Amino acid sequence: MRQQVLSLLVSNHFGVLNRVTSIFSRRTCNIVSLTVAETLNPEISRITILIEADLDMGLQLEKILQKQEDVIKAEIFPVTELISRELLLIKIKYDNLYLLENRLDELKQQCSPKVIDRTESTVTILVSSERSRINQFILDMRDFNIIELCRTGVASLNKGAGTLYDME
Amino acid sequence: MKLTGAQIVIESLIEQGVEHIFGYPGGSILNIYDALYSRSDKIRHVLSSHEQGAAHAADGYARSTGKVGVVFATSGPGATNLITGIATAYLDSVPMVAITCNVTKELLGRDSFQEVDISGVTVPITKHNFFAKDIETLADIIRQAFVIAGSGRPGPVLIDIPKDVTAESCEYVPAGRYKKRPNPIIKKDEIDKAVGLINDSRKPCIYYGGGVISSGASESLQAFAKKILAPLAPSAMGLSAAPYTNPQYLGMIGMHGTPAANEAANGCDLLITVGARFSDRVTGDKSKFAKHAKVLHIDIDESEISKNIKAFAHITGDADEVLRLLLERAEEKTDNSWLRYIQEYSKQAPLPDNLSEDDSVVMQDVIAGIHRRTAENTVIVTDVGQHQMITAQRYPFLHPRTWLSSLGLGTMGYGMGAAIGAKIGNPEKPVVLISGDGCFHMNMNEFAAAVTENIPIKVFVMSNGVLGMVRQWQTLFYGKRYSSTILSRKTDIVKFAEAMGGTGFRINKKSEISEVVKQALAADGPVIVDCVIDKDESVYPIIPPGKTPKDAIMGRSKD
Repeated sequence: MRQQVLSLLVSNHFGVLNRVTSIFSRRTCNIVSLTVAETLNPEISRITILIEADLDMGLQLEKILQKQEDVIKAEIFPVTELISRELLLIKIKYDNLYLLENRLDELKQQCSPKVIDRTESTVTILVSSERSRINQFILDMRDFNIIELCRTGVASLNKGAGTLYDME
Repeated sequence: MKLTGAQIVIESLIEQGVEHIFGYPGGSILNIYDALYSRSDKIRHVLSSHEQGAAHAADGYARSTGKVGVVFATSGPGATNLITGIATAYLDSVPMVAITCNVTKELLGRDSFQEVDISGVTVPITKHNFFAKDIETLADIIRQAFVIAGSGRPGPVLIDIPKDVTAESCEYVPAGRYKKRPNPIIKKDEIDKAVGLINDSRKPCIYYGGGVISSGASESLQAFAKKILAPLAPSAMGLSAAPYTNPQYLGMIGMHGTPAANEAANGCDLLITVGARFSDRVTGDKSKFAKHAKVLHIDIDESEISKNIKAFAHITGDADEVLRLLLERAEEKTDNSWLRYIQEYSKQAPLPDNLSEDDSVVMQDVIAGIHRRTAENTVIVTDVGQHQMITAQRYPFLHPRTWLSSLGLGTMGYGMGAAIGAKIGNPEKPVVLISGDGCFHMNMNEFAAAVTENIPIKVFVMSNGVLGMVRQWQTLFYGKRYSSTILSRKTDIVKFAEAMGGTGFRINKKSEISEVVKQALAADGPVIVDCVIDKDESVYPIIPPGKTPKDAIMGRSKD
């Protein structure tokens, strides 16, 4: 099993996501994370799907996705071939703000956490980083009282100058 | 010109060359049926007894003619009744356009009367589907549906239209008949590699499927096989692509296949697979299938390559185009020792006969009797089970598109609708349905439609009083524990045929077969022949699921 990312360009209309995800569920392949949003062209959306699967399954999924009418392009990559980032929002209830802020300061080097909302008893922190660093950050925050979190799933682009648009 | 959505549907279908529609009306689709009423000079609508029958009819129409089959159904239950028919077409890559209407846009998502999200439901069983909520795009959606259904690897497409869209009006600009999308461009390096493999091969075997039929590759297939001295081993979907008279033809491969076809796959050094997909019913134990061979996989659908069996080399492209290129490029082989070995094997190890010693009726004799009495161009339709496999094993097919059967999905009850569709599409050809009494009882209601519409199909029901194939598995693999496979129906099938307004016959004895078949074929209108056979007649050989040809059971044990 390997972490792989499928990058898709699809028509931007209802029902497309349903067809795309049904291809995974039919093969009992769990989607680890999924992001969808419009591209520069509002008629086209980009879907980024992170899966854990063997290479044959990944390749098979790519070919099946590629033949869907609404899929303009489907490419699968090992995670290492992409630059990927994920965004985390995490809400923490604190007793001692000083302790928390100290901890966040220590973690600055690692993932630059930013406090983006604050109340008398809670802070909401934003982290945008690689998936593994976000995982680690959440572990680090377990010393505090995490009351809610939300992750976006990965957004990925090809490393270097190449784009999904110029892939064969 | 300004037309309503309903009129646009009908005009667009006429524009696409549609002459026949199978279907069943209802509340949501009323506008379309109303528009059809004034165009009945151009389109004949065939009213089924149940929407499932209409879907199978569109499928049978498409398989037997190569055209896109069209089916109509209303919202909710009308649409869900199509599902088995759509899935059947999907698994066997049959071009079909299903048009359903839904409740009005205002009522969508409110659990309204007869509302079902049919485009959501059919996602996994359609090549594509559309929800036409905007009348401006309706005509184009219908055109696209035909392009998608008929291009590349064919398949079913569903269009769901809310009722209010069929009532709105917009400008309709006529367009021409749809053109198939160009086939994938065949890559030179793939051909080069394949030619190298073929030239190096000493024992090639061609295993082919439905792709040969849908691409019209019968001639190039046989010419290529002749040039490289390869035996021909079709999957059940590939039957009828090459005639049984071809000296290189071995008969069907797989679970109920001929010993020679399975030996060819097992013994070859290059398995050239054309428009077939290594179904589990073909391969059995995948790790041992064609284990001495490199696999060269030719398919128009790239996602089939290495899906079930890892391909050593592949060519993505249309079967006929690829075979023509290979025919041109491959060296002519002169050493016929492998082909002769397989031909000799075929003679030494024929399909085991299952004949009666007394005057009782066996399926093999009925099938032979039908063949003797029917014209060469007869379309043979089956249901699913023992009668289907014995027909696949035994019927001497000569021409492509004369064999219609639900092979991927294995849909019991497929046959009656499919036979109706085949007859509508081929009025000049006799259409014979070979069924079993289990399958027959599933969709016998469609016989009423055949009578009403005067569609003279000839139905032969192998009545053994049991669900024969399941019973056979219970006999072989479940210690003869016949759980729920004894039908004990009290139906008098002859009287049923008559009650529906058709003609009924019965065959009780072997000596009656010839005469009754003759009468049945000569009778006007739809006919059912009840053929009384023994409950323990079985299909042999059978390779137990997940096993190899070595494990084939060749006949009933003597206990």
